[in-house]
Amino acid sequence: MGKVFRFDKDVDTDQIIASQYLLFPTVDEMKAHTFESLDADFAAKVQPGDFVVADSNFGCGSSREQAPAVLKALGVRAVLAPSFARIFYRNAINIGLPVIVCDGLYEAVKTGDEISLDMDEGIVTAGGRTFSCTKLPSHLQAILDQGGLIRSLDSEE
Amino acid sequence: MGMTIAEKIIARAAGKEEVRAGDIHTVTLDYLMSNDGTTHLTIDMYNNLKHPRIADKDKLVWIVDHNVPCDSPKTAASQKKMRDFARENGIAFYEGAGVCHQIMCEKYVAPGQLIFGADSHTCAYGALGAFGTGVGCTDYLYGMVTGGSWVLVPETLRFHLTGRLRRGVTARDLILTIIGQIGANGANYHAMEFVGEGMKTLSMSDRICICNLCVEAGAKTALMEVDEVTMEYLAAHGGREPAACFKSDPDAHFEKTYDIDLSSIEPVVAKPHFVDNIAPVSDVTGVKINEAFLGSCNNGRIEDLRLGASILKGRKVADKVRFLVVPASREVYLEALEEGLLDIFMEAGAMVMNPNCSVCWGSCQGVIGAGETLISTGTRNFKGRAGDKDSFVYLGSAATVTASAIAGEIVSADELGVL
Repeated sequence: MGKVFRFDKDVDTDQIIASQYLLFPTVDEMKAHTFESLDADFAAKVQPGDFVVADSNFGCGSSREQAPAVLKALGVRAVLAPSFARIFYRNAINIGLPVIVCDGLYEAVKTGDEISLDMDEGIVTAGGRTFSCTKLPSHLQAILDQGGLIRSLDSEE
Repeated sequence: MGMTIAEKIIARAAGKEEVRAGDIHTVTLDYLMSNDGTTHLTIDMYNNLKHPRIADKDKLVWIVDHNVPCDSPKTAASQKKMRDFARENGIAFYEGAGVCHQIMCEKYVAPGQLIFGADSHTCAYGALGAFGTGVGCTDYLYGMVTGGSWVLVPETLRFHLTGRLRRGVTARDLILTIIGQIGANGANYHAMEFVGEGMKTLSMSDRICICNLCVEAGAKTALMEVDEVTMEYLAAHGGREPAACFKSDPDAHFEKTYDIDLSSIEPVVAKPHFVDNIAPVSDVTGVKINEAFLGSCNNGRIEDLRLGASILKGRKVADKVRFLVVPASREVYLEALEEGLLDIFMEAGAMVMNPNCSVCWGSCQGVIGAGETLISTGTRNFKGRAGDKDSFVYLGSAATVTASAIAGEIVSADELGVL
């Protein structure tokens, strides 16, 4: 089980992590500023295992990989939305942050609700209701399974 | 069935006769561009590899453009890491020479190439008939180490242009109108292809402006056919040869085709806080501004500075308005200097800055404070994009931005009577 942090549609990567923090030397120094413009206390409140649930087109805008990276660094278990912007989606898979296409969940939950995710079955349970998620294409699932794209570089030798 | 330009470029890069939208292919990349927004993190990941190696250093182009000159010790440390690594490894490196996409168009991009850039606006390269797409630093590192990557072949949305833009209406108004029509995710995962008689009326600067902004509709890439305008641009910029000049086949599959009469386009703005929040300039005439910005990879070329200077000549920037003019590259800066455009801007009270990303990305020069309003030729108007989270950004053309700088409030050049 994890808590929901709920966001609306078209959340762009500037809201996830703003430009002025991107050139900080490490992601760990950036993560305290996650979602600062939308929820200034997000980084203090979120616990490892919690979920980000959003409406469509989550992660639009800039290609900054710092956006999925700060969410992963804060321990966000997965991001669930009806659709994702493509660069964010690809970046998230590449670093091993599950991004899950799930219709209807955004409408059914609010911030603070407890939900659970069964990644293998692609099922989210929220308040007694279940939601089925779209499975990842096998190529992407393989990247996620091995813990991200960089792992494959280390195992290729 | 025939193939689209996007399919043909990926087929070439994959060494295949034929590819189809929806397929995933392993490809060889022609170039990999990275800037100071993320390269320090790429280097950290590189140094943590078990067997760090670079497939082909000549494919890498590194550009410091986002925070240049640097403004804090933390940024200095990140940029030093990038500078040192580039020198040690013989990677092409630019600093203060311009915005990354402008440098890539001036010096590297050639038709038919497949290019990854660690910046979302890499789709600009479609103006030169190349498939450019934005990636994060992990994808970048994978390409740097292996020379290749994987791509999902995109479906194509085709935009068939006819007619000619009216006086005072620009390519920026066209692409903003299209984004307003299809929405911020209207082209998610898709290629946007621009063809038709109307293309002949659009300069290379116009074309870069159009392709550059397609990511604001979610596009994976934007593509245009190679013609005389392309070949003249290449000849004037080092005489690069095309890798291949592709056109979509008549029987290629397009998910959707849009017909656009260029003469129907009006001056528009994107209102806060979304690029698809489009309205005619006349809807927001009179909105007070604190700052105006003419520059960026979208509208910082010599054609944009000429348009701005022609409007500003003999006039003054309004009291209490900061007008930032930022040429997109050293080449553009020197051309503007030569043509006397910088004199016009300076005499009118504008601030002419060195080539960089400037306030377009909100962490360089010219950021705005709480409650302030910026009218900008930058790429985005997201909440807080240009500074404080409680500030407001309107996006418009070079003409609208300059006219607004004179008036102190948003107005089209036509309405102000300065065209």
